[in-house]
Amino acid sequence: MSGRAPERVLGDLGDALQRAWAADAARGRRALRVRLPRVHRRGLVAAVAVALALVPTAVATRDAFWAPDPPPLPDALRPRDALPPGAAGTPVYVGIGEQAGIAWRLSATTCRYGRVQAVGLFLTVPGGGAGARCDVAARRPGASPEALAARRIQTYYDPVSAKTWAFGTLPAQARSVLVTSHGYDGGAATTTRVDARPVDPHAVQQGHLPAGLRVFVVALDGGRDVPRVEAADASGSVVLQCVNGRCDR
Amino acid sequence: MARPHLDQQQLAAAYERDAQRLLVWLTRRTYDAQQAVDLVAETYARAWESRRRFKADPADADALAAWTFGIARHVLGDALRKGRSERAAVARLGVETPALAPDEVARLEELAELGTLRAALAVALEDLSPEQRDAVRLRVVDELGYPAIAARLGISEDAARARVSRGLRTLAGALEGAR
Repeated sequence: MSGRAPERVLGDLGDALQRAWAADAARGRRALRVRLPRVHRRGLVAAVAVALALVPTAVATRDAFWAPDPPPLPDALRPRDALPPGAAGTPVYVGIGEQAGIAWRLSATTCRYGRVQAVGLFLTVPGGGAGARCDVAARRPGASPEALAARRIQTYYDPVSAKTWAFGTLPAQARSVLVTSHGYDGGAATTTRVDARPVDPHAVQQGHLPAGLRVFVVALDGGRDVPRVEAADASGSVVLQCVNGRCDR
Repeated sequence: MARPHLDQQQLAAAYERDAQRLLVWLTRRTYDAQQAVDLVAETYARAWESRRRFKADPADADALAAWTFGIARHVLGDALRKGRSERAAVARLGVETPALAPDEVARLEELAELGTLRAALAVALEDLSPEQRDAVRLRVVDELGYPAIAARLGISEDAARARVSRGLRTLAGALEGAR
């Protein structure tokens, strides 16, 4: 079958609805302006200008980059030493595509823990999804905010498609990614090369993500471990190395 | 303090959460994937137009889903009564509803498990009037399009749609039981 998966059809319809809603909201705003006397209109313009200066991100909600925002982890499920982020951005979509006939979506959340900024990535495919938001840091090695920030690479085995999805965030200068993997039962390692995909600048802005953020997604046949990922810039120089999901920067 | 109105971001989030469930629900009740997509579009178009009438907390996902499904029930009821999709809100807002290719229809029907329902319906069809039974059987069991059903029964396409719709409404109990 070559057509869209139901999720993709719904995604297209969702985009069409959001465009229509935004246009309708804009029509409503124009109609309001026409009805207002001139003196009030000046006041309204001033009020809007103040509002825009105070909450610049509010305007951005017109666009269709927002991703589902799952409810926070219940306190009862948090470890005793859980470390909530000082600030967390709203999830935004940072990539959408299709591999091997399977539609995927990638959303990202910025999590700030003091001076440490991490990006939680979440992959959604028709069979499910996996990833991280801002709920997982704790005061312990391997789960600290610094460890979370270094955990750029994640994998998800989708039993529906029988594929292992590897995905992650990349620095702005990355242009290509080499993903080294092997079967769960060992065997020879294989290397797959994929592009480093740029994230829409509007999504970066709306999600308060690192400037120039890039991402990658690759679907590997069967259940596979991904011990190594390397990203290179346009000249081929390595700009990021990750071993078992932990990266060097 | 007055509760804030349901806004675009909240409705978009509700769509992300609930649209697939709604699409399956509507596909299982119309036996028509394209019509179900149209009805999902009409439901969320009406939800947008009625957003100021949503009185519960917009952050309450369950309340928002219940409200949206309530709208969908009205949209579905209109469609079954008239024998065609009501697209007034979609037209007012200028929503471009996706048109499905045949393999996309097949994928949607697979998602909605129409095959299982078709088997259950083949039994329940015996409770319908002969006219409705023939129309529903041709549509649901034989999977014919409305022009073919109309030609087979010697009636207009609108009349064929109406017979199928009324038959499906009568079979609502069987549909629920087979879920």
